[in-house]
Amino acid sequence: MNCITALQFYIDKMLGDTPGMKVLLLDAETTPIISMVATQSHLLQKETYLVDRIENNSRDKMRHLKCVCFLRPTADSIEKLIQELRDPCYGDYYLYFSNRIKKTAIERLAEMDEHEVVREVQEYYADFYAINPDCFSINLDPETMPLYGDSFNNWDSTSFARTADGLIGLLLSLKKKPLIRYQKQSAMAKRLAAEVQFQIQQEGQLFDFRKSDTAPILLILDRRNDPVTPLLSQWTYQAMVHELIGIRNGRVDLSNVPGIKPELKEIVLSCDQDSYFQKNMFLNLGDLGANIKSYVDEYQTKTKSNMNIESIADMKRFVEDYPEFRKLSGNVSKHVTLVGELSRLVDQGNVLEVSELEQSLACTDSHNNDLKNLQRLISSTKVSDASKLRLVQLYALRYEKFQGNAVASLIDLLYKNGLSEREIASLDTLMQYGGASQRQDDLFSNESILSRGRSALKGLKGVENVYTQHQPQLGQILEQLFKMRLKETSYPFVEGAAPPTAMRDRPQDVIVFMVGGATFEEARYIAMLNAASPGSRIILGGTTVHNSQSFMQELVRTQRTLPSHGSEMGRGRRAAGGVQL
Amino acid sequence: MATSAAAKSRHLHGQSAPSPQQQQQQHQQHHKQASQPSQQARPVTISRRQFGPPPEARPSSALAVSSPSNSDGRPTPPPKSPQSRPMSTAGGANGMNGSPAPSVACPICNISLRNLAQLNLHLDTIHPEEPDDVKTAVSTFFRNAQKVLNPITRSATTTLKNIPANSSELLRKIQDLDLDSAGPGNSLAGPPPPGGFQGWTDPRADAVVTKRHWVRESDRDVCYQPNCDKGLGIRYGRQHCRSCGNVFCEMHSSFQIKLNAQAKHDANGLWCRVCETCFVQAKKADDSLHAGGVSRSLTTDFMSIRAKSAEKKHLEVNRLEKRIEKLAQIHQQYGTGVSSSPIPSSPTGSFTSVSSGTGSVRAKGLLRSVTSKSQQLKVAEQAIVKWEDDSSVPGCYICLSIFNRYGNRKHHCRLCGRVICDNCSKSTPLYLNMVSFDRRRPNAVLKYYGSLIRLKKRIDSALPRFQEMLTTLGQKSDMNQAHPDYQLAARTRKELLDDFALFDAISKKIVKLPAHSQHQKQLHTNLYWWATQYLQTNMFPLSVIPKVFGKDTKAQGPGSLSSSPSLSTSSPRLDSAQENEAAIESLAQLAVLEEQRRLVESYIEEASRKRRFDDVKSLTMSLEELESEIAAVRSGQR
Repeated sequence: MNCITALQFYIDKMLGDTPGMKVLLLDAETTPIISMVATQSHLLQKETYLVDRIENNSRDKMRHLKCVCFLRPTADSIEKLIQELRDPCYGDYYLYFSNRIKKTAIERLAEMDEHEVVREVQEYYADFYAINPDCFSINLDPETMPLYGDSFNNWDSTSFARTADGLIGLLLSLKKKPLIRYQKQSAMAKRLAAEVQFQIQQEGQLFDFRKSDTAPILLILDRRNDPVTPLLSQWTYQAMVHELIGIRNGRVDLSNVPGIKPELKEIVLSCDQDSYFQKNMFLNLGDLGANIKSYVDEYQTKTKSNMNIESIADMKRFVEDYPEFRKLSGNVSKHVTLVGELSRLVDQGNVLEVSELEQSLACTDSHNNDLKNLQRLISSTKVSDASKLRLVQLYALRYEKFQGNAVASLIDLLYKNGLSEREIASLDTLMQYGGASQRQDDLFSNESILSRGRSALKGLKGVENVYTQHQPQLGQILEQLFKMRLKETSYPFVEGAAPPTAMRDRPQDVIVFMVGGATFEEARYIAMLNAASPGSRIILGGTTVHNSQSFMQELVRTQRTLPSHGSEMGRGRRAAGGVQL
Repeated sequence: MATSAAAKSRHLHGQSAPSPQQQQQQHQQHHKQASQPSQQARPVTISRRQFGPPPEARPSSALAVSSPSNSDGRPTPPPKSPQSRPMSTAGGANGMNGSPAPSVACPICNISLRNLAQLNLHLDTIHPEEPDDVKTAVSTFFRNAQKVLNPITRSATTTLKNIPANSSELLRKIQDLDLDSAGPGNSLAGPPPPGGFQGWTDPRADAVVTKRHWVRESDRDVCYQPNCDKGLGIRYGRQHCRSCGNVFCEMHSSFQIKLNAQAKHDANGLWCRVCETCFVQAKKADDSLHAGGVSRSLTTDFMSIRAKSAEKKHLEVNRLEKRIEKLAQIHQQYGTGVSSSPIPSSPTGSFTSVSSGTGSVRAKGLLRSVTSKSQQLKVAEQAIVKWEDDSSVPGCYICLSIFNRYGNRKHHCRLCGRVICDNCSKSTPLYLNMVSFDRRRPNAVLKYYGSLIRLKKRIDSALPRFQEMLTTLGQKSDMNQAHPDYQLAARTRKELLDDFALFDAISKKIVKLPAHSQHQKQLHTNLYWWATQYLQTNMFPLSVIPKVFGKDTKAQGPGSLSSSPSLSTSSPRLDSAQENEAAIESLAQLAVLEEQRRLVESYIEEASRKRRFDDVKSLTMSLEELESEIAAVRSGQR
């Protein structure tokens, strides 16, 4: 159960099975899939000396090279491949597709291969993006592949097909034939669950694995059930970088950082290749600072020992260590820059104070206190507009059902502090998306006396860290799942999928998939859970990995394209006020 | 006999009250064991006193009354008064756990638990707030219990009189019961409790999974888990890992996997309690079975489809090829060798156009000659393919332009015989010997690369051998440089160094190859980069080796810079027989040093490009030292 090694297995296999000098041809989707889990030196070791895109028309003819094509079988890529086969640039072609390819496409390709250059055609199901060993994403691009169709309840057909393909790819690459459960209230989760189940049945031959003790569980959830987690500020390394700067396909764009060195404008953050990052990705900023310091110290002692070379032995050691040392120095400057930038952004946005209130809103029941703080922060000039808006969003979610909440007055306060109508309308969008009526579970543990009591009890225990006290709701669901208490009425099995005995076995391997995007807070939670209990293994996936910005952008963009939008626009303010209820 | 019967009935004890007859049996057993004290006596024997309560007073009936009436829907754990304590399962079920404490059965799932506290915990964790379920579960429990009890009591009454004689039959009956309970429809075992209970063992498993490998228990057992030294007993529990058979405390045996009758991990087996080690092992084995993703090869499909469509085309192409061959022959025959390639158009290009059926070929040069020879040629050509009648064709069939006498002339395609216009026809050269169709020309990069790979293979096989030699050399204390092993090692090292040098040279040649385009350049650079990486990872360990060789010399001089001459002065110190060897040695030394110097130079270049001046400084220092070292070695050689 490791997404990264599953992909690397495929890469090694497709490159290793073809000896000789090779070129690797990729398409728009497989390029990031590969680049997130493989380094160039790894490819070089596998005798792959050129990597190119199939869309690139200006490739030279190099008949002495073999060509490994790894493509997603989209209409586009197939078309490009047909063109390539008509006029081949390379000597031999080894075709690998990242998912199941249609029979007709194979026929077309075969008929077009007049030069008989194709030696091998295979399906290798590396059709998802591996971020951490236990976290993957389908990476739906909001520009080209919007998630939602004509409402928050509907899939866009392209993204639906892509997501189902990605999940099937994951299951095949991990060799899991799961029982599928889904969140009952979510139409999207239900449809996806049914589709995956259908495809598993269709591809019975592929899914013919040896039985394991317990059938793995694929649990399909909907982001709508927990709109709070993606809105919170993050304090652990990976999550924080994504929240404040943004990680895209394992890369961080630092070009906006003042005074950045040219070689650090874009850096790679990979837990697979960067052992320092792997060790520290789940630490909070405080611990991280301490670790960075010791990392720099280590570097400095090495520099010093490099500086005083006295004997021939020293010199030899130096020459031997130098490549390693160079790598270290590159890594040190990378992380120092990144952490420096993080703390700059934290200072600049007054994030500590904002985050404290966010956590209080999300976790504790203290309306009056929170409201006072909220009003103070909205009036403050040090806090960014985006943070103010987010705080009001959290407040509205939390106290939606609370008699006498002050959403309307807060909205007025936002107007007074110069936020635009458009920005404030996003509040309404969020409530439509994830308001109490849209949620299935008791997100804030305040709907029944019992859960209130439980949360009060939790409050008594005190928290270790005010800024990281929030626990994603996913945690509760998984806890129930492992204790066999997850109710079938709210998380049913897909029809016809579950044999009656399946219920009774405690799940050991679980794949959680979040329609609407996972978050790094949840990824961290899963990683911690995996480390703590050897008895269960969990992988988290999502249609994408959100931070607060991308999350709200997606909602707002969808809202604008919805057919009902025209009528919504005019009463933006009224509707936002209507949250008061 | 009695002991084995007790063992067989253990499971039964776990589920329901023992029949009087069984009590008696156990009582007998007690006596037996009392007479011959053994280690096993303690856990299995049960004192008579424990069987005190009459059947009516059994907690089961008490429960039946109290549970459904419970307001919060939870089954009340049986009261703790000694009279009504649930004796039903006594030591039997727990005997295997080695705990003498009486145990209780959960009224919902029938699982046997050690004591009331555990039952309470069990009820809390496994059967939380399910009011409806509990009622039905409890009532079915009693119905089932009744059913089960009846045959037992019946058989008990019948066999009670002649136990010694009939004990074998009883045994069979108990076995039957056991088997029944293992059957799916039997209600005795009840539905298996939800697996949420950590370390839960399927009640059926005790009868099926072998226990032969279990370690014997003693009074002073401690948990087998490394780093856990809890004494086993009532406080921490005592559990056998069903897979490895060692004893563990409650906590460290709280994992479950499925085992078969041989206590081996098997997905079709029964859930059993195991220790962490066994669990992790089983998971690993599971993973290795599931390692590596699925793939599906479509190559054969592809090939068969391609073969089908290619066949058609091949027929056509073959026919045309035959014709072109014949054409070439004719032209050779008529001695028009020169005219066979009249126009320098690209041969492959026009050839493809023929095969794809969109273009046409004609030998234009031939049309110019008006001799009788050409007339004969024309006839011969027409014999290959019948020419279309000119007069019936109004226009070119490719571009549809209308022919006229002057502007748009008619031509015949020599291969298909159809009439086409001047624009659409192309002259193609005829290769009279038909050999130069080879598409692949040998390529310089390919050649170099081939030798690189060959070298790499040689190095890769020699390197481990060499390392092995080194370790054996290092172990021998009486090693001197005249020793054959030493000589062999030195030779190998020399060869390796030569190979490395050659490898390096070839990779440099590749990067210097002329590149026609960006891509080619990229290819060459990447190849060079790969070669450098390979050298960096493999050659440096090699350069350490002289230290081992020169151990005796090194011992004299201090390990500082001043010791560097010792490497060179070592040669005069050697006797004449080893002089030659030493010369080779220093040559190799030199090669290593040179290599290092080159590397350092490249580092300096890179560092200064990246403006890392600290690095440059230290690098320059080491470069200077390297140079002086090289000079020293050189002088030593001379």
